[in-house]
Amino acid sequence: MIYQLAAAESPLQTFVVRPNQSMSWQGLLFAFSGMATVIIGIGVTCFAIGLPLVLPFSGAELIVLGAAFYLTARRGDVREVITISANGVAVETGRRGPETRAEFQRHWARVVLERPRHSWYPGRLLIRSHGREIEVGRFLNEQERRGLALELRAALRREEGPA
Amino acid sequence: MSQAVAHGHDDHSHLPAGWKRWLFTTNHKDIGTLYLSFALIMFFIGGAMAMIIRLELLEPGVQYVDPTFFNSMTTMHALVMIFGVVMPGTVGFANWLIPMMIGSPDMALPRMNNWSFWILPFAFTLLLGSLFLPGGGPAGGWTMYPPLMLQTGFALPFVIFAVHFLGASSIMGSINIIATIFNMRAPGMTFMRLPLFVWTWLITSFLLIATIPVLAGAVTMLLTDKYFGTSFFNAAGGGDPVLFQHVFWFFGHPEVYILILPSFGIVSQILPTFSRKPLFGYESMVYATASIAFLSFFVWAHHMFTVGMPLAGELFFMYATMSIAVPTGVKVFNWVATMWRGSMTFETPMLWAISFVVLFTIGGFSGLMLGITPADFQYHDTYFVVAHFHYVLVTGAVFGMIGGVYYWLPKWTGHMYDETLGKIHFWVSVISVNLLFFPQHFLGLAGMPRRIPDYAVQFTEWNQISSIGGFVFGASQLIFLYLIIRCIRGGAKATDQVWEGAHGLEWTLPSPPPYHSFTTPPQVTDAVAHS
Repeated sequence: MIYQLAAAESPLQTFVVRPNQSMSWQGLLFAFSGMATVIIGIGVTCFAIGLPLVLPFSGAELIVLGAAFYLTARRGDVREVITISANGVAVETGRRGPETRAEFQRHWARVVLERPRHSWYPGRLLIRSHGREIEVGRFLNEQERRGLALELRAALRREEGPA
Repeated sequence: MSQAVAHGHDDHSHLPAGWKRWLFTTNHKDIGTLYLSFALIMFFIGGAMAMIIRLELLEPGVQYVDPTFFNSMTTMHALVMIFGVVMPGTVGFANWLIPMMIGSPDMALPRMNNWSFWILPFAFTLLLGSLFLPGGGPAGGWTMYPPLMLQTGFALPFVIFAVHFLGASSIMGSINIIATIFNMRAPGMTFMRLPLFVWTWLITSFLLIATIPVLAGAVTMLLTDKYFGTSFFNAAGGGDPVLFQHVFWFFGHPEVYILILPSFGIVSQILPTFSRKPLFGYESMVYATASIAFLSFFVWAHHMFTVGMPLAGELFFMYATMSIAVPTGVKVFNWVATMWRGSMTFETPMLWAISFVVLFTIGGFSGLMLGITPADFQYHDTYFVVAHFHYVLVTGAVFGMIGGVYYWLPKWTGHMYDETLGKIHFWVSVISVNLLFFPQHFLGLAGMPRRIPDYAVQFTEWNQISSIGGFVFGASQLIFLYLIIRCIRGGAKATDQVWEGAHGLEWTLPSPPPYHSFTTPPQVTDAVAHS
């Protein structure tokens, strides 16, 4: 998902890109609790009737399920903030705050939508300058990626207004 | 705090090529293709075993294989078809379609997706390799009942570890599907807007994660009984072999729905397309699928009425089994109502879907007959049971999958398949499959037991008809293989929508889904809307 945080006329353009997260953390917890109740309930019942070795498998499965939910929720939390100022392009990535930052000179920066080698793979959206590049919007679907590429190119081409 | 993360230009070749592409891929389409290809290969391996079985049963007496090998074939045929064909095949559909249907770029956990596929070849190497061990392969039936199964030679631990691997693969696949559907739906794709195929897979995934640990625990206890001196299922040591049957079928009955629900979903996508009408009763279809899944946890003992249980237990399991007919009937009614007064056309996927509805319903009815406790005492362990579950699993699950392949093959490959050849494949298959399995009802009702290499002479004629049907059905699948290969290699260009009446996000993508195609102006959505 892409949000643009500035007026179109401003020289300072900010794009916030984040993965689509269709279920809230609370929703995931609720779903996990429900599944855990069933899985452990079956394991404990089996234990009670003389089948003790079901429970360890239930527990192991629950750990994998919890880890999968946690990882996907955490990945959904990531933000990429692309700021195009009068002279530079900054790409900050992080969750609660910027954890990594890359900067390019605005007038040399190019937005490249790279074709994949095989048609089934997604493309890559790169900001490139002086032999350096950074991929943005890795988690977007293809339509969104193309949209972001257009937006970034338009923003880079836009004439600088009054500071 | 900040650090440069940009890297040099020379990192473009981040996608491996050749065999490494397939080994290391995390792309949902690649993995979907791997699953489907694997399922097709296993379909021919399991099918070859079926041919051996039918060849031996062509005449009374023991002609071609010794009885132990025959029993190995029945055991392996079932394990291969269940764990190697239907489950991976439907996971292949899920991998290809769920992200496209819900508007997601990929599966939620792509690396786990890769692992869950690549476990399968190892598991089946273990399983099929056990045929060459001293003492032969497993011959105690796919249900692995002790004490018979404990008489297996060196093959036992191989089979059990193979089952563990297959279970781990299924669990990882299910968790991935649940996480994807929960977390990665496109904005506006609420649960009650999900395509029915996605719903059926979500419910199937819940069934898998609830039941696979039970199977894993049960077979591990089988292993400890054999090698570590425990007596979980050994009556001499205070254990109970019947307990294994209970716990196995607590997994096994939901497993039946794990096999069939994705095909319900596939057929629910195909029928509206070629009827040019929306699916009748979408919400009731969702609730019916969930009800079938829920009830599947309370009917397991109908597989073992003859083992001896209290009358109250028999009545409970009989009524619970009967009650599953209600949501299943809702589904069949809705499929028929979807077609009612629709502008129907009969392209190959539609033919498979219609035959699914008719023939699966026959399997459902014979299942109801088996669910009646006193009647089951007569039918149990006869060929009537064999006919029943093959109508459900072959003309149900497998026909649904074949219909799905024809339906989405143009989308996947970008080429139209040969429609004439597809129809020939359909008609030869549908006639031969009924020749194969319908006579088995008569054989079972006349008292022919299942899992035997020899039989009394009065069963000869129907067995011969069944075997001839089996050979033709097996051979006709070579048409399917040829057609798929030909479609992958070329053919008429498929349009994006492929089918006039197709609806859904996957049909808005080009065929094959290209991601990179700039031949049409890029469609700008959110970003442009904000500018």
